[in-house]
Amino acid sequence: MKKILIIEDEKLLAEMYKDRFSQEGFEVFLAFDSEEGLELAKKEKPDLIMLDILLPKENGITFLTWLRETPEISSLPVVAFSNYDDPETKKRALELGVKDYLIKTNYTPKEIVEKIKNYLL
Amino acid sequence: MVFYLDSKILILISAAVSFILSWIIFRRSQKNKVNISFALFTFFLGLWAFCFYFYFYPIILSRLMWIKLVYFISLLILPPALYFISCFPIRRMESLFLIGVFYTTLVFPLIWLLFFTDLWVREVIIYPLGPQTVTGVGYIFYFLFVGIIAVFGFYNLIKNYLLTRGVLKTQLKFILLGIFSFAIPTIIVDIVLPLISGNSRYFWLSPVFAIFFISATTYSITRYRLMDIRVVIGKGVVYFLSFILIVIFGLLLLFLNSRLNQPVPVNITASFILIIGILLFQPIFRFFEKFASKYFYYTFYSYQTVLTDLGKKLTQVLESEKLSSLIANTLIDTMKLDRAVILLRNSDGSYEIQKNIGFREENGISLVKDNFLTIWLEKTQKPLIYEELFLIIRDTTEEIEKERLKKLGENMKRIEAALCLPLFIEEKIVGMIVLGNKISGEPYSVQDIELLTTLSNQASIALQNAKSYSEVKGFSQKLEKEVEKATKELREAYEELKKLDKAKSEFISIASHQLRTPLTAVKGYLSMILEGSYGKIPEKTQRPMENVYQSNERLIKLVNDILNVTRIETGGLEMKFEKSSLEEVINTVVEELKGTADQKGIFLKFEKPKEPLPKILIDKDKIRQVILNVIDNAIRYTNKGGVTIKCKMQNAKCKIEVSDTGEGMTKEELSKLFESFSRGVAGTRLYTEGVGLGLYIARKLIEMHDGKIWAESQGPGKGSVFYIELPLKL
Repeated sequence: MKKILIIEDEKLLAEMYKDRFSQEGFEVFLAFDSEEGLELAKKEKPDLIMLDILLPKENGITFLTWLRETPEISSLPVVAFSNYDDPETKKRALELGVKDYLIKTNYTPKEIVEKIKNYLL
Repeated sequence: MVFYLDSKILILISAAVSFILSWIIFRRSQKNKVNISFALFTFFLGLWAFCFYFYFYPIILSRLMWIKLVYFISLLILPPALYFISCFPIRRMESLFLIGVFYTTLVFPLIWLLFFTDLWVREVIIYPLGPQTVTGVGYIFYFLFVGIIAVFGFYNLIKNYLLTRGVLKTQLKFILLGIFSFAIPTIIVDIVLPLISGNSRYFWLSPVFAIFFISATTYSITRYRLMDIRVVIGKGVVYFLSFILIVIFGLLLLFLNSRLNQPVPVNITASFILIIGILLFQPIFRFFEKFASKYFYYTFYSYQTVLTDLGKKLTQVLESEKLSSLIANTLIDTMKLDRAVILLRNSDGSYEIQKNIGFREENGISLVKDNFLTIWLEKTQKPLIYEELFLIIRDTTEEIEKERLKKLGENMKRIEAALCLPLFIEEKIVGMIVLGNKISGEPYSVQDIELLTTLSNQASIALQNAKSYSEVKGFSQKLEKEVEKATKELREAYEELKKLDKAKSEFISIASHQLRTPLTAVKGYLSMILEGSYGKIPEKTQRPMENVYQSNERLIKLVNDILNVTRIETGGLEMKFEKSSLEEVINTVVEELKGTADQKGIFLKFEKPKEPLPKILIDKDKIRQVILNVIDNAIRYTNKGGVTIKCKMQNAKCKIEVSDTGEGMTKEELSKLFESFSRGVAGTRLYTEGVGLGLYIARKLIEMHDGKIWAESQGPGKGSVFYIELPLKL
């Protein structure tokens, strides 16, 4: 069973994506901020991390730097998904090696699952 | 001691003058070797003349001894003279070495010859006309010895004269002049006259001629160097000459008295002479003072030299302060003035002191306190001389003017100003040079006034140039500062704007994020409901649910559009150009929208060109967005028929054509189609579903590709065609 870590501070959305990914047979872990996300990532070593960018305290970009500096999990695939559509942030995220930067509103959960499946192939 | 009273007294006077000068020079600077040597030289010269006198009137010792002393002293004169020549004006001791050796080797044999043999001076024979010295063969050695040293001295002096420049040259000129005025008459009375007429009775005059030499040399040394020495010497000479003249006068009276048959008793004549002497001393002293001041302070300036020199210098200086200093100093130095002030006139008519030498600060400018002097000078157009002022006053008929002139004269006298030299530019006064008196007390000569007038013309031009220069310089400096300030302000404003822009764009990003979050939740849950993730939904609910979903999609699109428009308008939209195939882009869009067209029951076809189009530089995502938008619109407003897409090369451009069989548009609608809603009322009637931001964004994006987008329609109901033209950038 593939493990997905979703770092998303908006509980409503987190639950929704968890539902959808669970339906598709993923094991889903939820984290609500960067620190928690990093802890979970270290602990669970998920197959893929879905990362929101605007997070309380430290944002997604900071999470990405932490992740890349933590040896055992530094190469985990990350897909950024956020409604924060800022070119600078997007550029920075891509530099830090995210597979994609998805704008949440533009995709249904189903479409997102499809995309993630593609990245896990 | 009895002094015989005849013309030989001149020898004594010469000796006395020599001693006095020697003493003064020695007193002035006991440390300066040049001066000491000169003092020594003068002293020996005096001693020499002194011995000469005793040769004629041997009160003690014999005539023979005196003439031997004369020759002996003439030998002593040589070392200081040579030393002086070697050191003045340039120290060149090495040339002294040889002649020094020459001198020291031969001087002692000569002295021996002189005092212990009769080979040189044999005897003195008394003729009725005076004593005559008979010389022996040794005299030739003396003659050669002195001759060689004299030639050496002359040679060095002339060489120095040719090598030096300026003031020193003038000094050397006087030394040479002194030597000639000493040597030539001496040669005449000592050699030429005896040779021609066998008459050597004027031979005694040679020590008298020494006075010329001493005076000229002294004058030349002290002339430029040590003003105070000059004053001391001047005074000394004046007192001495006055005294001597009175003594001579008194002796003359005594002599005349003694010749009378019945001489007046000496005590009466003596008191008479004393009274006359006391009475005469003052006028005689004044006469000599005037005479001396003329020759001790008189400045030989060459008109042309001063003018060309100053003119040359004036062109080399651009700062008005330096220029004023230059002018004032040149005037003071060449004309020997006690004070000078240069005033420049401001544009408001007031004056300011540019350079002041010698005047008291408030006095320097006091003459121009009121306007009268300025007006007067502009009227007369020539310098105002204090000494002429009373003549002017006398000739002035107008009472007020007379009063003003008198007041001006008093003022000039008070501040000791002697001359007002106006500086004109086109007959307007731009400044003034006020000069004090000459140190000599002489009045300004005609030549002086001419020189000053010419000089003032040059000076006024130069000063005016300097003023303009400093103004231009000041102006450019000010301008520079202004530009700097403005640049700084602009930079700050720009930074501020950039901050604002960033803030704005950040605000939009955040705001859109906040709007999108609930929209995402609605979209997500609705889609999952419609997919049946939460169980199959009743058929009746299906359609309303889909409507809700569509409405939500519109909202999402609106938010996206607003974000895009903001990006475009704040310049925050970054383009990522890459070589892409337009056909491929169109293909994917057509594939994506096929379903929508099918649902509406209309056709959607892409007529590919026969030859594939070249790949061009585009931002693929943005072009895709534009094409999607245009085709999506076409499908949306076409209810029967369908949408055809073509794409071809035309005029070295890629042209995409999207034609539909839909509702078409009026001309007015066409004209506003690609405008932002912030600018007008784009598409409000027909585009019920959107706000038309899509096409505005499309236009902007295409423009960012240097392309063009436009639409044509034959009118309502007749369908429309959208064109996109992109340059062929490879």
